Amino acid sequence: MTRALVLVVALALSGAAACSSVPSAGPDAAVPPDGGGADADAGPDAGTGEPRCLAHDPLRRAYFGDTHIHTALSLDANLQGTRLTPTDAYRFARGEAVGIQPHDAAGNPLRTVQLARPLDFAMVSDHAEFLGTVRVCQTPGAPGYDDPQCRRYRNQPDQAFMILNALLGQAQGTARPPSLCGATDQNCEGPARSVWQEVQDAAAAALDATPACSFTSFVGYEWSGSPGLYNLHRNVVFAGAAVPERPTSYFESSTPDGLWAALRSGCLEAGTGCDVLTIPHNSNLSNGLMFETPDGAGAARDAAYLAERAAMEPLVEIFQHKGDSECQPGTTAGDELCDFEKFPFNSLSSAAVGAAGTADGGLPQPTDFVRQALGLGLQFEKSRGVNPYRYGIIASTDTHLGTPGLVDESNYPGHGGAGAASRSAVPPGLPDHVWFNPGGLAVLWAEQNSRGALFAAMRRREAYGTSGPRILLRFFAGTGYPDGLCSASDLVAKGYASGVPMGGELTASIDGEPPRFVVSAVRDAGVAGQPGGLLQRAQIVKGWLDGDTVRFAVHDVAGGTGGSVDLGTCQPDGVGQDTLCSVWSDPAFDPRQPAFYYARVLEAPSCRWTSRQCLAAGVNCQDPATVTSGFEGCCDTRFPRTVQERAWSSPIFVHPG
Amino acid sequence: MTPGRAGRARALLHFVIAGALLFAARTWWVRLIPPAAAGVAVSDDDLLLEEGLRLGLAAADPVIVHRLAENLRFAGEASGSDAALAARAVRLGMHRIDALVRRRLIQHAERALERRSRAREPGPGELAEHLARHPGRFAVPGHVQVSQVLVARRPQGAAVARSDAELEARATALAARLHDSNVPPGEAHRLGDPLGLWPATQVASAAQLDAQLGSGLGAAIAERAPVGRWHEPLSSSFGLHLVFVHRRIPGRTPALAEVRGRVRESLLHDRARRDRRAALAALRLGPGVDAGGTR
Repeated sequence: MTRALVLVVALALSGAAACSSVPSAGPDAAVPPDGGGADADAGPDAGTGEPRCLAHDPLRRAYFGDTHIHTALSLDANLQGTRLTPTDAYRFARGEAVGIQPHDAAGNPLRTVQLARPLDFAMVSDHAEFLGTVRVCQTPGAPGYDDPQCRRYRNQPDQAFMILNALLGQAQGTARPPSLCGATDQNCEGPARSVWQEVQDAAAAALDATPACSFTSFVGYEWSGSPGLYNLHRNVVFAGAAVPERPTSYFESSTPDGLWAALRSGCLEAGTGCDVLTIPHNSNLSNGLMFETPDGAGAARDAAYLAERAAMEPLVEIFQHKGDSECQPGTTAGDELCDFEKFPFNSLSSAAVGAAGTADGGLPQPTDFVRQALGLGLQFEKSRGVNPYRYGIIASTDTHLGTPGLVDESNYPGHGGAGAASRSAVPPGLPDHVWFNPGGLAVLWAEQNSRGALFAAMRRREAYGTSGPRILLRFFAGTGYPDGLCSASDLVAKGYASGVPMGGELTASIDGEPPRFVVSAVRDAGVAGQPGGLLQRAQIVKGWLDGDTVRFAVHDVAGGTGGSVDLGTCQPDGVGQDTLCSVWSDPAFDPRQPAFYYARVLEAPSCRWTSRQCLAAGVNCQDPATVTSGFEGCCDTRFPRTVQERAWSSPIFVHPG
Repeated sequence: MTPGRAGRARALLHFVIAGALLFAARTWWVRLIPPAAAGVAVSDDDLLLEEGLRLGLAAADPVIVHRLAENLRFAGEASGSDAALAARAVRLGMHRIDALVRRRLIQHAERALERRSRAREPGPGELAEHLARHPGRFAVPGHVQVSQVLVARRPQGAAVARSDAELEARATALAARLHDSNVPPGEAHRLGDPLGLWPATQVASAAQLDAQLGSGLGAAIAERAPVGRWHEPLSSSFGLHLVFVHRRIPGRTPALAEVRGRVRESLLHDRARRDRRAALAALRLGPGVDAGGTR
């Protein structure tokens, strides 16, 4: 108690020292009420009113999870032989071993996977579209069961995969459910409700509501609109057990604002205590559709649309198994590290064409990336008074095997979905097309591992993404941060007290002290006998508005450029750091310019999943005889043999005073 | 050399005749050996296959009916409706040979068993009993309130990692200082290297400590470290950790109300597995034995 009092006083004093750059608006960037983290017997959590978990920390802890998971309830996953249900997916997330496809004639799975470390939270996000279709096509006697589409689903799954998924590419405003559902969706509505209940039951059963708070599940789904096969997908996350009667799919609402309107009426204004947010993903496959520009399609958007987007979408998924969406190589001077896990297509259809090796698909454009969107947001704010792209950042897997958090590069089995299917057999050679990757993780800074605390972290954008490793990352901006803060034991308390955490907002003062930034990171602890990769460097990425022009700069603020890996053994050379920390000031800070800053922390280079599997298979690209069927990707020079795993913080937004 | 038209026809005829002979031989053999015959090893799949048939699931699946009918048509039996041909194919045992029909029928039987097993909602008594029988599945693990001091292998900003000997020497000196001084355990981290983002004092379970520091340390701290005094240095890939356990919060079995959803799912999962085993055992005893679920 005494300690808590001392800390409260200390925080109050240090808060008083903060002056010129004023923390503002960030939905809930307030200083945590105390700094102890040791009193587990106190009352309910102050922020959410939920029962307090044993591991409760007012200075917040990092919780690792996956909010993008498909199971056998998703048509595309189901057609690829995935049999794991939402219940199975949560079992896997909690650390149990599960069997995955292919299956033998007796139905036994031929592969088994298990996480070395359980996740803290997860959300099964099966596609809302076709949610009832799988059930209809699997239930003899159900209306629609004999429809040719259902017959194709049962007898020609590869064709069905292409044809049914093509329905998601119908133009906005014209999208209709598959004919097997009937003219008014009457055949699929009942089954869809039943499946939706199954999704909710699985989440409820997985949630650890005891004070141990060992695992948190969220109810959600994916809205999978892809007009022209360009990606507008969003994951819909509900805060608690109060949810709409059924998910809203592309077939009911074929525009993002239609989805938000449905969520507003069916959830936010339903009087049930329902709360919700949406997370767009794979902007890299949207061909310019995901982030409209102020002088392009966005010019036609009214202020209400822009405000609704800002309200409903506090986060964006920056990375997953279909590639990195941070930035396009070449768009920021000197940022060669943008060239990371880039998906070489701009839509799923061109990826399919590319996969067949018959043509070069279209390439993404700069506005398909999150960094550019953050800049567009500044332009919108200046010209229209609203920033629709004030995004926080997370990452996830988008697994279609029902295996959340399966991000290990060393045993990547493929994730299905848009990637290679293993329905009947594991393909010879590499288990997935070479341009896919194992995906990433979502990380939330929260007082405790409970639905309320985690959802609040999403809302205030105190979140970050990683490309797989469990890197710890803090990022603060404020004033009064001393040079020696990195060595201080109360770095985090001071970070909150004198500024805002990642996702927060600051108002710069014209005559005052410019803000300082603190970035601090700890490498992934790893597991027994296999420590995580060492950290190479920490960077701060800045975007700002210079007149009407968006500019970007990347600053190295800690670490160096060392570290390498032996491609003959995949052993790293041991150069790197366990921790990185820096207190940094922007040498070009101009309080009149709106800006955003986010931290990017990189591991030293390590072997990419392809290199590990090619090495294990004895592939030597100098000796064609060793490049056996399916291993051709090992020698595809378009794809690097090493990766620099990383973490991206949510940005801190600085407004002119 | 390309075979002529007559040659191709001859080859096709040979293929059809050989196929028909093989099919007839297999059918004859299968019919001679009923799946549940005493003394013959019968797989679970065979039992489920026959159960699926008995429950009328073959006739209810248009895919199976169509496929069986097509098989018979291929073998030369052209007359009759799909349903009639499928029934005849089943009498010939064709459902045991066609891989697709076999797999679908087995799956239908498995689903029927599972549906029956899950149909009955477990009562409060059953849930309580399940919780009492499997406390480990739902236990709230023990937690500790612990403070730590770090001797880092790679101190922040250092170009070179410390050697094991240097780490041990520093940790030994630090441990002696902690024993001899009156520094409160919660403040002692200032004597070591910066903890970075780890809390100096926290309440955590063994699993949470493992996630933070790497596997192995969690149990050593949460379960074995003494309470109320400094523990000898513990090693992780980050360096050496001196820990002080303030108190232990014992693990416990939660009340049913706290874990009702998880207990229900676990019970239904177990029941489905048990019912499957019971149903298969009943089927092994022969036809007419009730293969229904446990009550």
